[in-house]
Amino acid sequence: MSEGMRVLIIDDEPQIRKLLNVSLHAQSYAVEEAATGQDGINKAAIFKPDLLIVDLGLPDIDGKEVVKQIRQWSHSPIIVLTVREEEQDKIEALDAGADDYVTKPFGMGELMARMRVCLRRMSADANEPVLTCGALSVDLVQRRVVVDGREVKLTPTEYEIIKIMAQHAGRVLTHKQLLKAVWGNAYNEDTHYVRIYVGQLRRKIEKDPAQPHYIITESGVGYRLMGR
Amino acid sequence: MVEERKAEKTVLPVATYNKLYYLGGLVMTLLVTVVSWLGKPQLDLVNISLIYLLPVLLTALWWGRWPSYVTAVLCVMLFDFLFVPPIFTFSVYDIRHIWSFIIFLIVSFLLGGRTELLRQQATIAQQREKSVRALYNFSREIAGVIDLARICQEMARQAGETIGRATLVLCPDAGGKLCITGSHDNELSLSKAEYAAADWSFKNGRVAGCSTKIMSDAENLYVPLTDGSARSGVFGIKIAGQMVSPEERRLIDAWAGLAAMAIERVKLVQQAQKTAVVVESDKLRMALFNSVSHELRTPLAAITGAISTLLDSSIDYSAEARADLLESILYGSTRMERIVTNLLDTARQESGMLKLKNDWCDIEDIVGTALRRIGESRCTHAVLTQIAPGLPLFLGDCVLLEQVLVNLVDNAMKYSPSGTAITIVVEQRDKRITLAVIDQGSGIAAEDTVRIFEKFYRAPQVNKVAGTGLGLSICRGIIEAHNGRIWAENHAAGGAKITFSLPLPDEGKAISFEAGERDE
Repeated sequence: MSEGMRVLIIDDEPQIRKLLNVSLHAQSYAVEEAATGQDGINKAAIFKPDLLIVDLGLPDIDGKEVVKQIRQWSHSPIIVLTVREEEQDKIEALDAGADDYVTKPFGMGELMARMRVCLRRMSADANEPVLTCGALSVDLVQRRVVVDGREVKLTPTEYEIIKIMAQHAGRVLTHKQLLKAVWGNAYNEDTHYVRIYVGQLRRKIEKDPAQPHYIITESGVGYRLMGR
Repeated sequence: MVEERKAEKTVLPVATYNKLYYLGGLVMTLLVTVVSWLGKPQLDLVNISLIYLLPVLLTALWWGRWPSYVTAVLCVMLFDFLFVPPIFTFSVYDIRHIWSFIIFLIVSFLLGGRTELLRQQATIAQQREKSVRALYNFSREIAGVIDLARICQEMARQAGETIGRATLVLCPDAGGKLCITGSHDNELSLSKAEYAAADWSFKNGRVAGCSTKIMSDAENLYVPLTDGSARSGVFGIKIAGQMVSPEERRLIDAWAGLAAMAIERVKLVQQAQKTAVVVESDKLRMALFNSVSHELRTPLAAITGAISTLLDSSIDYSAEARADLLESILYGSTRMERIVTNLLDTARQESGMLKLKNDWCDIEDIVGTALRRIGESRCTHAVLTQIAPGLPLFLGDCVLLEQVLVNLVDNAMKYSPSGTAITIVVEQRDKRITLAVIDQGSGIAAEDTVRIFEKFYRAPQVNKVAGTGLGLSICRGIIEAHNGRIWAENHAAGGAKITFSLPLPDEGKAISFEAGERDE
């Protein structure tokens, strides 16, 4: 599926650009590079990439600003590159319109997986009645959730959460995004709701809630629903 | 300083007698007269004259010498006029009465003078006691204070209240220029003349200003704050031309001495702290060079070696061998990443840049993410979790706590043989949540259970295991920033057990899973 897909890399580190360029070429992506934020914004307009990889620590413009500007006219998925300690940066980049992030140092497999998820979103059929994620499936019509062939009884809120997560399977969802989607705008700051319900959900769908396989915590940022 | 003290005029404050005091004497005399007049049939002349001593004595006791003298004269006159025959005249039949008048007056005068002296001494003793108590209170209050500005302000206030005058304290700033650091009822800026007097006093270590010979035009009296050879500032007292009693001067000197000592102590403490910081950062640098360079070089050597082997095109490695080499590169780089993370965390704690994000945390979630992060290298040990059900959420920084757990598990893996189990136990005890990481290694020597949390400390028997000695000190820093406690002990079944406990929010604020929605 990656055949001929165009990827724009905006990163000031030549080594990272080279690494990404080589690996993405090997996967038959067409790659364009930009070393500064301004150059990246220009190239995004000309090159019209299907996906962008943006480093948050750019020398000229803040990476979050680059995301914000590109988001004004482009719907292409954006994956940002960050370092572990900067959870707030990740959240802000996601709020600015980034689709996902990868923490440096990252494995190429991880990045490829994120890219595939983002690209799939672009071509996904929004009306699919059953969402599956590994051995977990969510039937949107009958409002049924099945794990390993066994139906799980969920409360309406728990169902809403797993539904949103399944609709964004493989992608990170921030605490705020989940709050907004399930509870509405008024509960913007009450992240403990999310934690309590996710804890309950895990107890119902995970074999070992302490070492979850489906609902993965992205520390300090939010959650991600993973297939096994 | 001694000759100046002698040169001072010693003038007692002139006692000012209120007119009311004389009136009081008059009233008492009249009272006594009325009583004597009414009791005249029962009383002898001698008795009456003794009764007349009463107002004289009381006036002396309460109001001082002069009112008592006046009362005495008044008494004699009234006694003569009303009681000594012939009555209603000042003339006297018997000459012996004249003698008794004279004796009465002499006794009254002696009594008045003596009583006032006693009264004065009592007042002075009281004042002294009050000022000694104030000095004592001040010294006790500032004993624990190491803030210079606060000491100066307290000193100005308390000394000012005790002495009963406006005061100020001047200390030299970084450039050696005197600045007002404490003030009580006094101006907050000094005129040129005032400043010159203060400066002279500071530079020469002698008193100057009002009531001395040097720069006596100044409004204030300036006493240098000296403790041995060190000069720490100047104490200024607003005199404005009034007299200063030796008693007051002694008091001022006592305050100045005490303040000098307090300021000197603060300076010494600050100096000691500075030295400690320098020593500490020196130690840190040395340790960084010694342990970290070694720590970073080992995985780096493995990585470089593996890569150069793979790049060597002359040998065709089997797929298995290549995979082995690549795995060692991956292991080496994750190792390096962990070291760099710990170094950054230490630097952050050192520089006070560690900021806690206060968010609701689910301990089970933290365990899950930490184990996920440890991930790949975990195959050497089995990690078991025992998490009590229904634990409440608590406020903390999830990411930092996750780092604590990663370090603890990483540690347990390093110091226990491969193939053994590592157990994580989470439970609630009273109003705290505790998490313990238990391994099946050789345990910790009793004398090391506290020291292993120190920066760069590595237990002697574990020196063959690679490590920077930073992991546990970071854990302690993070846990203590959460108002928590972390400690190490040996598990009953052998192996080390490191536990941390964090306070849970109060009953009302705690959110437990029961607060969630019930199942339908």
